[in-house]
Amino acid sequence: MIVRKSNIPESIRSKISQDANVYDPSLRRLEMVQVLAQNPKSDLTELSENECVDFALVRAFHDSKVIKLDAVILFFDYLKENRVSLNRKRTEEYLKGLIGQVNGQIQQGAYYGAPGTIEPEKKSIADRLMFWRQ
Amino acid sequence: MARRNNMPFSPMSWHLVFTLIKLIEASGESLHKRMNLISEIIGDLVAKKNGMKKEKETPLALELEDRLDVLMADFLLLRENYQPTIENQEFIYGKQGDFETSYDCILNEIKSIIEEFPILDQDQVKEIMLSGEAHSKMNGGPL
Repeated sequence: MIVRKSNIPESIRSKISQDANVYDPSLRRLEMVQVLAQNPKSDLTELSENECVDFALVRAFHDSKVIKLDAVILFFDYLKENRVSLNRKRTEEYLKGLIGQVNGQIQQGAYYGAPGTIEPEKKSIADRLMFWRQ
Repeated sequence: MARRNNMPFSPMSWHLVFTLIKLIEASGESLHKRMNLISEIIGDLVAKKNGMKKEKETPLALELEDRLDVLMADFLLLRENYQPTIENQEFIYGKQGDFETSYDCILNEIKSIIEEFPILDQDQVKEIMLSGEAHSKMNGGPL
């Protein structure tokens, strides 16, 4: 008599072997937030518009091996690490996602971090008037 | 209960039947509880297989051993991958369905083994005193 290898279909076996916690919406949201700062030292820094273009141009030349600019690329990396973001926008965005607060509302199920530590962005009356004029 | 001449491997029969009935009664209960009941049933079958092998290592006993090995491997997979989260978090109800399907497959195999091998017979089941709802039902009483 032929004995089967398993009584459970292979499709079910593979699903059972998966970790249940990967479906946790809280963890998935954290993973998405993590994309904002995969390398916090360089991702949460601040670049001017000109710097963005210049850095991209130099890096493109370097990556396509037109000009070898290892030292310049290294300089850019160190510069991004050392420069403190002045308006902290990216850091604020990251922390909002991490804590689970969007527009002043605490999302249900956000049990990590300390809710209410990040204030929502307040716009001045002049900003609001400018918005309606556009 | 005394051993039967035609069923020499009966000491665990009472336990096996009782657990089977308990499993029916627990059909809507948690995965964890049913998993423990299935574990008891598999344990009883293994005990019966060991009894059969001790008496005489027949081809039937060896075939039963092979099938129980597969059954135990399947059950071990469920044991190792069970997480309490799958019973109380709505985001993982799909995995609960996978466990239910696996229970169906394992129970089908258990019932087939009981049917195909000399493990239980109808008279033996009738002799066994059942408690609770199952006993009441077998005696024709209200549930």
